[in-house]
Amino acid sequence: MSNWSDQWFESWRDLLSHQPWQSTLEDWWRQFSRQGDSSSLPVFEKIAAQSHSFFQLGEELAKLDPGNSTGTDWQASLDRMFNELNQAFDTPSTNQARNLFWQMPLANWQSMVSSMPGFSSDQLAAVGGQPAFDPRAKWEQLLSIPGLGYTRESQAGMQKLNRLTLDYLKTQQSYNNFFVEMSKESLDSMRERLTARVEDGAEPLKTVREFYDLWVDCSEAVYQARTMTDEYARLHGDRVNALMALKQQAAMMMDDWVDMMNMPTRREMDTINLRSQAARRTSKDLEQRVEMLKRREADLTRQVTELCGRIERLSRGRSQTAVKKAPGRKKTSPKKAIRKQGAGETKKNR
Amino acid sequence: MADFARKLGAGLSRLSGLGDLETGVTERDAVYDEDKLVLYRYKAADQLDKLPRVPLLIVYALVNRPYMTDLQENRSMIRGLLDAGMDVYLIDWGYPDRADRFLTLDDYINGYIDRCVDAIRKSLGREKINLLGICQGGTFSLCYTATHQEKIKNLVTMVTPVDFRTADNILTKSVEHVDIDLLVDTLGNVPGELLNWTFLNLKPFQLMGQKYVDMVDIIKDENSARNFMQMEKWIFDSPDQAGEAFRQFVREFFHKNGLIAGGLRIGDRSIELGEIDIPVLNVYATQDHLVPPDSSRALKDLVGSADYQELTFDGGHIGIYVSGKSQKTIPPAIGGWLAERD
Repeated sequence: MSNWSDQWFESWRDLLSHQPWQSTLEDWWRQFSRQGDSSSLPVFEKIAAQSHSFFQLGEELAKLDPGNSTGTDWQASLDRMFNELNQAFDTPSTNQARNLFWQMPLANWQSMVSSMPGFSSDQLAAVGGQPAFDPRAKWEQLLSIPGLGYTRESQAGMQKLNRLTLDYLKTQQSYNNFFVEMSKESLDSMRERLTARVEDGAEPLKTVREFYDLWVDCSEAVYQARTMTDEYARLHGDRVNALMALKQQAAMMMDDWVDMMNMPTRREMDTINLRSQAARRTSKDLEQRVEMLKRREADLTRQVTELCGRIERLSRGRSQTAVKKAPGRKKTSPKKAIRKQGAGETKKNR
Repeated sequence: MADFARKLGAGLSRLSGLGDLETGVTERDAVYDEDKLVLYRYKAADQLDKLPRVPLLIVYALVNRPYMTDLQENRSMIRGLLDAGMDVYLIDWGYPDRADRFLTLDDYINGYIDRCVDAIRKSLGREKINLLGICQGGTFSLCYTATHQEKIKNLVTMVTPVDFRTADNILTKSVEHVDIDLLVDTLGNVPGELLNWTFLNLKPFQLMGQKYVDMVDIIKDENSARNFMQMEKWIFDSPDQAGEAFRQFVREFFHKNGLIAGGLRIGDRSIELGEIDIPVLNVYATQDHLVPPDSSRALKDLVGSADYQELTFDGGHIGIYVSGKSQKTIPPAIGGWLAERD
């Protein structure tokens, strides 16, 4: 096994000797974004952001280069590298590991939240990690003081908004903690798979890209397993519900301010839209009924026309017969003719 | 790393020169419209009026845009269906805005779909048409067929969720504890951005990260870059969802699993899949991470039809519309199945 592990170790050392790339990418990106078509920038930014993570992984690996180790103690070096990354997750001031591994899902959540109507949540991201929110009990005590006097309602509304903000930040913190645990699990999984590769005599990983793909595989596998748990479903539901409660309170307060300015409120617009939709439904229903009645009318008109034709033919035929057979005989009226014929048809049908 | 940086530079430069991205490539006519909905009829190479076939109406999901079925010249399910001799219609739901917030499932299924079906029947003087429902549109098509069977000759469902409570349904898990009333009451319409986030979060490291790193390898030529960008455009082209319809869909299907548990009502109509006794073709993808195969396969034991068949595609939820493999197999198979029952 030592030959294989030596080979692995040397490959790794060689791989990590070509740094730094991230700063090069950033310089290049700055140049490019000055020249690029502005409509394409969002796509480029996505690509650049992921490339940034990719290069960052390379640089993280480089920093943890087991420089003084010999090829035979690769396992110790590997363990040391993963232990250092693992510890970084437990240190609140060290965002490096968290940024590297879990930037994507969490940053995308923040971006999505900010795009929602009702209340901008950008500022929540800024205050979310502040230790000022740790003494939650004090805040809650402060916020539970009832409002007094003429502005009582607005005071109560603002206090509720602050309480809901705290609730949301609490759920966000729980969610982040869950992700940190997942990150550690991903690292453990990656370490195990690297070890297993060496023990199985697999080819060494020769590029940062191979490390990156392995990291993605491990992270996805852990993510898929953990997100199917009841714990995750509850955390996710709590976070979404807390955010909605906060946004709803903010939107209600916004509506009150808009109302004070004598402008149409969201509530009023909803009422109008609700009535409008109900009216459209009724209108469509009536249109369908009118269409049905038109079809029925056309059908009846056709039947009447046919009947008139038959009456005409009958009366003409009877007149001719009467003239031929009995010039003095009384004529049958068209109505009676129809009745007689109708009775005949009914009997036939029976 | 140096190779990656070089390819990244070349690739991004190429992307900046791509210009406009066309979507929906097959020629078509708008034959009916109502509110934001447009019903299109696609033109075949020869004259449509000469086609003897029963027309086929495609009902796409409300989520994402239906041009996925006609993305590019060589990646078009609609082109494949036309080549198979079908007379193809498609409902484009448009982009709902706040004025559409109170549209319900009843409005969509017993309203819009029914009027599109009637418009086709009336224009062609036909009593019945064929229906092809895709994804959520498949669920709608099942509900529609169960209650308007006199107008439908054959039903095809494609990557359609039926059982929303299979053990591997991560979407169901993610909304399990979400208070859907609070969400809709707060947001009104549900932003497409929220749905994007939800779908991307099913595989965040692949879909938000690795995909873009992979892209650096494939954008060295213009066609690959264009293919990538067209797919990217589709993924993020997500209409907002009419609030009431979204509330009902999550509550009745994700939370209550109405097609399986029973008791589902759309408007004043009770939905019983056992009532469906026309021929049914159920097409699903074996590696579908959005609609697990078991979710689609549940249909087999629910419909009352004696003529029920399944068609499997060895791929994912998106690949079934756009992959080269699916182009060669899925539309011809659907065309053949329908032709046998014309």
